[in-house]
Amino acid sequence: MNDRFALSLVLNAHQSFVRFRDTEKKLEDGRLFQSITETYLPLLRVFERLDADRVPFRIALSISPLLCDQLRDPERKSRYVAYLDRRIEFGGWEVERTQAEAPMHRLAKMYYDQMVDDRIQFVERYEGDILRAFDFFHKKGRLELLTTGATYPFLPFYTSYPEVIQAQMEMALITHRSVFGRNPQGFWLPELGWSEGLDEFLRAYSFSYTIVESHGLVFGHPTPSLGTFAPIKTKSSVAVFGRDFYATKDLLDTEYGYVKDPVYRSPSRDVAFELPAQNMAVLLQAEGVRNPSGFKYWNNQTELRDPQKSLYDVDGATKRVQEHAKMFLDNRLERLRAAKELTSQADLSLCAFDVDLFGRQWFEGPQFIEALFREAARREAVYFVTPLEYLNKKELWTLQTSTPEFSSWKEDGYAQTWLDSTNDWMYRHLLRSIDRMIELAERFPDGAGLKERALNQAAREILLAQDALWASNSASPREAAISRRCVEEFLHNFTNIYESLGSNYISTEWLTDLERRHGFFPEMNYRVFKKKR
Amino acid sequence: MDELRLTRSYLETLSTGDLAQLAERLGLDIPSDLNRIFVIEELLETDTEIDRALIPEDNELAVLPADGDAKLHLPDRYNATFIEVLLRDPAWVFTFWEIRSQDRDFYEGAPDFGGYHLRLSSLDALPLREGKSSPDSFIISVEPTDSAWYLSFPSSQGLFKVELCVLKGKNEIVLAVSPPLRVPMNVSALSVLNSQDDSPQTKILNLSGWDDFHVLRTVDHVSRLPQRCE
Repeated sequence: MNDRFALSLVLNAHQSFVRFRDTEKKLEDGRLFQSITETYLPLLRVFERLDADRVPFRIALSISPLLCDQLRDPERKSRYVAYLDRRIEFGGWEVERTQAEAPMHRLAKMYYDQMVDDRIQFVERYEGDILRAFDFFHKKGRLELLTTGATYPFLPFYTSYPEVIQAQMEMALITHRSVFGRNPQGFWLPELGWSEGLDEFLRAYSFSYTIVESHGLVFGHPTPSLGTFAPIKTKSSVAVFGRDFYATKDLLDTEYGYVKDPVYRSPSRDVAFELPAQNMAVLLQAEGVRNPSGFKYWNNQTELRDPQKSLYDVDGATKRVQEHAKMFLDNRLERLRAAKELTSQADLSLCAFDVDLFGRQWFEGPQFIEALFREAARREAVYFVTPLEYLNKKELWTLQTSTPEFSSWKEDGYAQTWLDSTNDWMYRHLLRSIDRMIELAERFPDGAGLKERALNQAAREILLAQDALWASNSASPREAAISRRCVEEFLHNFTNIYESLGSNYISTEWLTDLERRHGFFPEMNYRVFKKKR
Repeated sequence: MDELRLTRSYLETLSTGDLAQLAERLGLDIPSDLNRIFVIEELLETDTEIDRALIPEDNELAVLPADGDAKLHLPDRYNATFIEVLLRDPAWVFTFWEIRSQDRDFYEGAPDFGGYHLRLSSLDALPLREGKSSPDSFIISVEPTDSAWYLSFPSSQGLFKVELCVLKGKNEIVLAVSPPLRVPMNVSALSVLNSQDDSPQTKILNLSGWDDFHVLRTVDHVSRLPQRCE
């Protein structure tokens, strides 16, 4: 019998919580709403088409608790519909405006129709509940849902504070159960940040497996004899998968990555940044600040400023997607076959990416995923599998025992992204505040009424301050300034509550307002920060 | 002359074409394919006063202070004695500390105050030491005004701790001890191990990407001197 190889596609979805004052609302919503429009809805459409055509697709998706919370927030859902309506209105004008330019007009009509479909899909088909739509495919056995740290912290920085890791995992489980009604088996390590000892926490919360960056697994001790072609298990009996390094390189290599292909649509050049302001009043924020409209007419050769060469060609891009999907599968199979020749147990390639790559950053990404599943269905040698399905077919004891090495999936492979001269100031405040939160949880084990509300809010603020985004956002001064303000605001709020509890007085009005603005995780229980005895 | 500074809010209202024109008039060399977010950053970084005539129309946003929110106050000190370490990569660790004000006054006011230092020790070697000074530890003098340093390690891989100490006369007093920290082996050392044989396992590791990983490859070029944080 010919060899058959397993491919696993795991995606990570997370959105940070930036709503710390009303002026920033647009920034946060903008990012979330773009992800819904350009990634989540297109992916769901891909799933529906594949399902309708009985293509046997399998995929895994980690949805962060913070994102779950934002997607189930009724206020945000209403704002998203308004966001779509503004774009549809703008689209109507854009279709008219481009009438004299046939190629652009075709694209404008395509985008307009898509936005109307998005509205129907979101409002009527899913009744505003995207999480339920994902859960539908989970229940059909097509999609495996994972969870991740409640507020997506870089966990290796908190190994000296077990209460933080427990709180992050406990809130993740509580939220996942509340949204999907069951416990997840897989835990996505935020930023794939791994350090020794995390497996003990994963085991304590009954997670079966996690995923680390390729070098984290390969540099493990003892060295895994199957490389990234099979998972290992840790001493705590948690299975650990290594990400396929070359799968990432195929898509994202700075020079040769598929997403850079000249024929694909430019992710950044949007007509909303080109037109005179009066043509797009409906999309402008109150201050006249421009937002992307989704009407993008140019390909990755946009810098040529040659209307012929830089105009986006849908058919050309679709054709290239099919080619890239085939190449991607060929490349995986080539390495798997080479590995299998060396050892018969090498049979897996696990490809893990941020979900936003597929759509928001790479317009053709969802099409690529669809093409991948359709192409795989035509091939004997390969089949898609979720990590849990793969593990269920193996006996855990057959996996090699090893401990992965400290690692992450960012630039240098370690923690430089979150620790340099631009962001190291925050850890002094963060770790001291964490100390104080643990102290509060110990001091007030039975908080009730207003005190309990204050303690729960303190726990929310301290969790929010741990999002890895704040430290990694130092690339641009604007983002660094926003991140700094976020961390300062969260820790300032926390300190206010800490001091108020010390003096036994808290302003109900201030607390109520804070709960309204930062009222995520309705199931919050501050006791998640208690020391485990 | 009526002059003003550019603000982010104003720049974000401009079209990409207007941004490029403004950059050109200010003498900035901006690549044509540069994302507008970065063009705005470039313009803000010039931080020069510009002539109102450069602004297409009177726009009050242009004279508003950018991001002019009130600064939030976080404590300067927590009046606790502690030392923390965070691992950055196989070459560098970030450490920060604080000494309680009362203790600080006590030690620094004493006539036999000999300064503060950090002692970096390998925990792997501790059982052999039995309280004696070990070759697997070394000290780094720090100023009373210091509160954070980036430290590099004498050798990578192993379990370490950092102690914050004060010298009182000839006596070293340990004020705080960091949690143990495991430092990984750096990749250049790992590569030596990997290149030693031509076994199937080595080939598998190479197929997994060993030679191509985008990780900190060598620490040779990194200065071993600890870095004081400004």
